[in-house]
Amino acid sequence: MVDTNLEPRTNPETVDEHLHSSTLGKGQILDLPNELLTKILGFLPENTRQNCRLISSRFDGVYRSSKALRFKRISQVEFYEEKLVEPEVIAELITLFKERLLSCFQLQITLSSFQDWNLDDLLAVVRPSKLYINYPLNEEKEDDPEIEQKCILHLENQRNLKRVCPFLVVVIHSLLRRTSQARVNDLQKDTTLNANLMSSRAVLAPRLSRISLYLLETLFLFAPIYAQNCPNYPAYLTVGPIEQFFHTPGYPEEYPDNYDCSLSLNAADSNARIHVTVYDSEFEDRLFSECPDYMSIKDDSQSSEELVKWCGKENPINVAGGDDSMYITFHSDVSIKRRGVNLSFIEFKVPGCPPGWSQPKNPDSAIQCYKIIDLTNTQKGNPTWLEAQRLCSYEKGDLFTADSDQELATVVGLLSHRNQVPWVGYHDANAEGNFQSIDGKQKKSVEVRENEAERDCAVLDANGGKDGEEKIHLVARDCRERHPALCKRLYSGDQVSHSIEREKIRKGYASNSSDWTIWAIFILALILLLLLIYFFYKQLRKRCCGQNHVGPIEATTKPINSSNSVEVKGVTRPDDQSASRMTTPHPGTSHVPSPTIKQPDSNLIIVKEKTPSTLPLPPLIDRELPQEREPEKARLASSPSPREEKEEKAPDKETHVKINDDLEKKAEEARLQPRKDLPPLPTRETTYLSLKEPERSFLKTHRDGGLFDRPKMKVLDNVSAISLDEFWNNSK
Amino acid sequence: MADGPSGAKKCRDDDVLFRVKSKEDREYTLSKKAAQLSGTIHHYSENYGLDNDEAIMKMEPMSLLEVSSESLHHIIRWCEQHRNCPIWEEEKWWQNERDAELTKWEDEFMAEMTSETLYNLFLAANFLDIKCLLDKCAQSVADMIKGKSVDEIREIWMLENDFTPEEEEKIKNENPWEAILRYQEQLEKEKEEQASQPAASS
Repeated sequence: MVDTNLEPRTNPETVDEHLHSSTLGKGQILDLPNELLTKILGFLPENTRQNCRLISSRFDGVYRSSKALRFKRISQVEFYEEKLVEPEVIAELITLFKERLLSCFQLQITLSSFQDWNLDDLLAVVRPSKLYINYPLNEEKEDDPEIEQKCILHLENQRNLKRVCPFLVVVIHSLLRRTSQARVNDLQKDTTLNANLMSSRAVLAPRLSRISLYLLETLFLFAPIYAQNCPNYPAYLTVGPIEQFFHTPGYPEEYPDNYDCSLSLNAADSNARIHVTVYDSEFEDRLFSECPDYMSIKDDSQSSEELVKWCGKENPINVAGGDDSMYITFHSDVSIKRRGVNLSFIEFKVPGCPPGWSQPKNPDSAIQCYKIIDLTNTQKGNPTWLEAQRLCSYEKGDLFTADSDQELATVVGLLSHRNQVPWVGYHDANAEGNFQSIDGKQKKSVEVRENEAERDCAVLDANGGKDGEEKIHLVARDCRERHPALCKRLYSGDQVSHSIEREKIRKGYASNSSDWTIWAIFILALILLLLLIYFFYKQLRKRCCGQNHVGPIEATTKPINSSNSVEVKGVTRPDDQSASRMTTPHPGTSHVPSPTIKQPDSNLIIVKEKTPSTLPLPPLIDRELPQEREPEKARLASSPSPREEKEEKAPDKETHVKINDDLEKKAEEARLQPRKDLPPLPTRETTYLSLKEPERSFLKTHRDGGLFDRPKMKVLDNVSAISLDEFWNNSK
Repeated sequence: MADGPSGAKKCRDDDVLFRVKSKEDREYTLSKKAAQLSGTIHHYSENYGLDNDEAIMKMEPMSLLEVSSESLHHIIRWCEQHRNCPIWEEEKWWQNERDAELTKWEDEFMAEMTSETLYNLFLAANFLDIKCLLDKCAQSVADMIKGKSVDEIREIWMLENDFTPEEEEKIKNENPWEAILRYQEQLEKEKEEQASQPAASS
């Protein structure tokens, strides 16, 4: 026989030593059969496996099929204990659940041994609402009490298990597989045991019922609070007899923007209803009547009518569903974040009373459930009558109305030890003095004390009255007062709360107080209207007489000019204006009001208009000349200027012809002076020399600023006083 | 012991030998115990009545048309080395304990493989249904891309991106659970169709 098989086919020296970083060659990997690819993926951690999905469509399919093999049904996940022992696998699972699953899944775990097996870490994250644990049993010895004992011990050691799982299904693996006909009888015997367990919502594999009856009791009775996260895609959750918690993502920190999540709650029993308790709630405040961020609860499914929707700081305290399923939605928009909500849900049996309601001693004869909602010591405070009725209606109840005296007595028995005066379901909103029950059953009026026109709603006072009088009676109160609420609902759970005519109740107290409120509003409106008219009138006046106000603005903007013009006018004007005008220069010594300044200005214009040919020209040239040739000022002052000649030539010579040269010069200088002011000139003449230096600088600054100020008037006083006095003297 | 093949050679003479032929019509032999590791050979021997040593001694060479000589050589090396191992449980590979020496040998064995030989070995192992080798190969391939990014994986396996950008975006964004569940439904549908088709045809 030829021994060929040991013939070395590969030279060790040519072998690529770094295989792990080498390539597998030109896409060959895709030629591998599916099962091999699946196998390869099986050796990869989850994150790399997901990456594989993205490298090619082939791998995407392989990834799916390899996953699909693992998950038999939508809500059933199967993992092997041995795998979970590996820290890597646990970490992988945890991230997977954290990112994708969150909760609301059934988890099936198959155990092969009890050692070193800790569910806690996994359960802390996975939080299945239903957990299957498959325990192995000795194949040969089916009724091995040791293993049963081990099961119990093992389950007891899982602390999170008690916190998390409302449903626990424990399966002894090998037994179920080998259920023989002989066993069936046993099983049926055991199902009577199961019936008890079913009532505590435990779905048990028949075989184990005996083992863990005691255990399950401890599990279910002492299961503490555990908050469920809010998944971002609709999640189905089975509600059990243990309170399960739900909170918005991030609670108690702020919830994220643009977040929607919904939970579809289903009671495990179709005869059960779901009862929601809101412990804490804060959302973005109401924007008008819309809720930007909200929490909503619906019966049954997404499409059914909303039971309640709330936002801002208001929230219902309890909500009872009318069906065995409930749909809870949370929505947040782009802006403003708040704490969110923390609520819990639990199922209760119908017929029966929801948790927190009075539990009747005789379930058989029970007809009603009662509850008192007392918020005296809470932040919210007690409700008004309308709010009280709403709170009751959230739980499918109404404010209390007594069908009989006996009922009244039992109810009072519920609260006599407290000093409470709760709202009850009577009001006289329809007809004053005629108190009727909220459900409309009692047609005749109920006796209510202390009734007044504005008191429309009734409270139950069990402590009132003096000795000898009847202790229990109804007292009328203003509907806006705040009292605890006494609610009542049918034991059968059928009752649908009565819608009250809110408008009527509102109107009730509105009409009572309308006497003055309406009048107050009316008077306020009238005052407003008058004010409006007044302002409108003022505005109108301003508009029509606007011209009066234009002058002063001009005057103030160029005070230099105006002051100058006063001077000029003093010279040029006498002919054109009346005596009243002539007075202005005189009072000018003390104070020049704006109209006086304005008037000269307009006078100037008038002058110009009146003597278009002669008068306007000289001043114009007059003004320009000194500006253009300031150095020639001396010459101007000494020798007769061209202006003088012009003036002399002008045919219309009235007053200023008579003015002697000196006067004219002075006037001219006074006229020139402000002009020079624009380009600052150090040299001043005649009258200005008399001014002290600081005064002048003060003047300058103010003139530069273009402001009208008193000091300037002083200067003018000097000038005008001299010139005018002299003028008048001369003219006389 | 580190030199596996020579160790295997020594004990061969005492053993009953299976004769196998490669694709290239080259004959190899392997011990009975080693042959039992291969599901295919095991199956073959059952079907052809090779249940006693005498029959095995007289057997015609079993031709393995899918396996190249090179792969067969490596496989025989592997099998001889593992012939005394307990039965390999494929589904619970993590449970299969190996002594350190053997693991070391396995690693060296895999390190010898070029990507080409590894590929062929993988296929051959699949054909011969040698579970422990299959797992080892799969692990080796997986190790290549462990913790690598998408681009790195493409580079390592020399793959072209056959996704359109839209598809890629879709995969990135979709909830893997939904995808899986949809895929599962699809599989079930196909199964049903397959089940209904033969019924209709018959």
